[in-house]
Amino acid sequence: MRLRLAKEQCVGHALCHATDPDLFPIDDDGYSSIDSVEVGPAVAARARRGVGACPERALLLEE
Amino acid sequence: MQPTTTPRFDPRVSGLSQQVKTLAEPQLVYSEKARDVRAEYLDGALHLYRYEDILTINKHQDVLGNGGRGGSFGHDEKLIPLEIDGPEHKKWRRLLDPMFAPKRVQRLEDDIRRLAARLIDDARAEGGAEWYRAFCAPLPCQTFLGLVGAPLADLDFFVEFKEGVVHPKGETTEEIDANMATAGAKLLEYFNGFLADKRARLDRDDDVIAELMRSEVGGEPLTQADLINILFLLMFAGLDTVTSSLSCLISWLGRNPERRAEILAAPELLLPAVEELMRYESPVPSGMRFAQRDIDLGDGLLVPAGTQINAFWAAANVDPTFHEDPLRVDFHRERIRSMTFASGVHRCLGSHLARLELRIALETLLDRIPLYEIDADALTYNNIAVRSVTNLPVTIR
Ligand code: HEM
Ligand code: SF4
Repeated sequence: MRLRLAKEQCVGHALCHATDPDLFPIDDDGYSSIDSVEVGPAVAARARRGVGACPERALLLEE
Repeated sequence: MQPTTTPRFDPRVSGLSQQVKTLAEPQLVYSEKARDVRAEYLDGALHLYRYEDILTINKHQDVLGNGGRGGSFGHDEKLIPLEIDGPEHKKWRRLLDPMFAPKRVQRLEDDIRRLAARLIDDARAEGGAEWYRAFCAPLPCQTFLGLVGAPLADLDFFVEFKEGVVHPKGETTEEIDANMATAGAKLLEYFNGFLADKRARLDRDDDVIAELMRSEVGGEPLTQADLINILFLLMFAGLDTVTSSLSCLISWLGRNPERRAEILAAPELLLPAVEELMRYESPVPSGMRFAQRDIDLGDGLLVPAGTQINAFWAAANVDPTFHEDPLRVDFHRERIRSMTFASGVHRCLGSHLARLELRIALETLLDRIPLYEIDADALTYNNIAVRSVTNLPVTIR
C-alpha cells in the first residue's frame, strides 16, 4: 500500500512523527517530509497508527 | 463582511464559558452539547461543538482567526501570528516555526528537567504546599525567561506583571481591558530595557530573541515593535497555558490515584497519558473564528458570512460523534486525535514546547513523589479563557 501526504493539509502537529519517527520523518520546521512512499504489509500497522494520529487527516493510506 | 449591528462577542464574559465557569468536570456539559446540540447561537456568537465542523472551519480559506475583529489583549497591534491571517500569517509562521520545531525545543530538555527537580525538591522541603504557586507557575515562567534569554533574577518582577496582563481583574470587557493596559504598559517598559541590553551582547546569545534580532522578514530586519509583539505573544500563549495545563493534570492524577498507579507501573504510558489527559482536560476551551463568506457545514448547518464563531476545542475533544467513549480517560487508546492545540494554520506554535514541558514536569514529579496526595475538596477550578486549578494543595507523606 501507499502512504501519501496531502501537503497543503499538513500544519506541523508532528503527531505522526511521535508515533514512529522512522516511518514519519519531519523537516526542520516540524512538518511532515513524506511525499509518497510504498509500505509493505510488515509495517502496515505502524503506518495506520501514524495516519490515525494526524488531527488534520493530512496523511492517507491507499490500499 | 461583519455586520456592524452585532456586538463584539467576548468569550471571557459571555457564551457557554459562563455556564461552566467553575465546574470541576465541564466535560459532561461539553460532551452533551456536541451530541445533542451540535451548534447554537449564544450572546450573538455561533458556538460550534463538533470535531468535524470545527476541523472544516479551521481549514477554510474564508475564515479568519482570533484577530478577525482586530487585536485584543491590551496590546494595540494585532498579535503575531495569533491575530493575523493570510499571506502575512504564513510569512511569520515560516520564520517562527523552525524556532519552535520539535528538534529545536528538544535542546531545552535538560534545563527543564533540572528546573523541575529543583522546584519539586524545594516544595517537598516545605512539606505541604500550594502547587499552583510552588510548581505550575514557576516552571513555564523560568523556561520562558531561558528561552528568550531574559535574566532569571527578574522572575518575581516578571511574574507580577505577567499576572496583570494575562489575568486582569474586572467584570466587563472595558474594565478588563483597562486593567490589562496598565499592566501591559509596565511590561512594555521592562521589555524595552531588556531588548536594549540584548542588542549589546547579540553576538554571544543563541536564544529565540537573539535569533529574531538577527533575522529578516521580507528583506528587512525586525523592528523593535515586532520584537515586542512577539515577546507579548510568547508570554500570553506560552506561560499561562502550560501553567494551567500542569495544574489540571496534577489535579487529575491526584484525584485518580489508581490511574496514576497505572503509569507508575508502566512508565511508557506517560506519553500517551499526557496526550489523553490533555484531550480530556482541554485547557484552552475555545477560540474565535470569523466567517467571511457563507459556509455550508452540511446536514442543514449554514454559517452565514459575517458570523462570529466560538469554536469549542474542549467540546470537540469529547464529541461522541467523533470519539469512541469520549468521557472515559484511557491511556491505551488506539489513537488520540484532539483539538487541544487547535488545528489548521493557527495550530499552536508552542505545541512541541508545551508537550515537552508537560512530559518532563510529570516525569520528574512521578519519579520524586509518586504518592503525592491532594486535598480534592479544596481544588478551585476556573474554566474561563484557560482552564486551571488555582488552589492546588499537595501533601507529601
Ligand atoms: C499546554 C499548553 C498550550 C495549549 C493548550 C495551547 C493551546 C493553543 C491553542 C488552542 C491555540 C489556537 C488559538 C486559536 O487560533 O484560536 C494556540 C495558538 C498558539 N500558541 Fe499555544 N498552547 C499552549 C502552549 C503554548 C506555548 C508554550 C507557546 C509558546 C511558544 C504557544 C504559542 C502559541 C502561538 C504563537 C499560537 C498562535 C499560532 C498562530 O496563530 O499561528 N502555545 N495555542
Ligand atoms: S500529524 Fe499530520 S499535520 Fe502533523 S506533521 Fe504529521 S502529517 Fe503533518
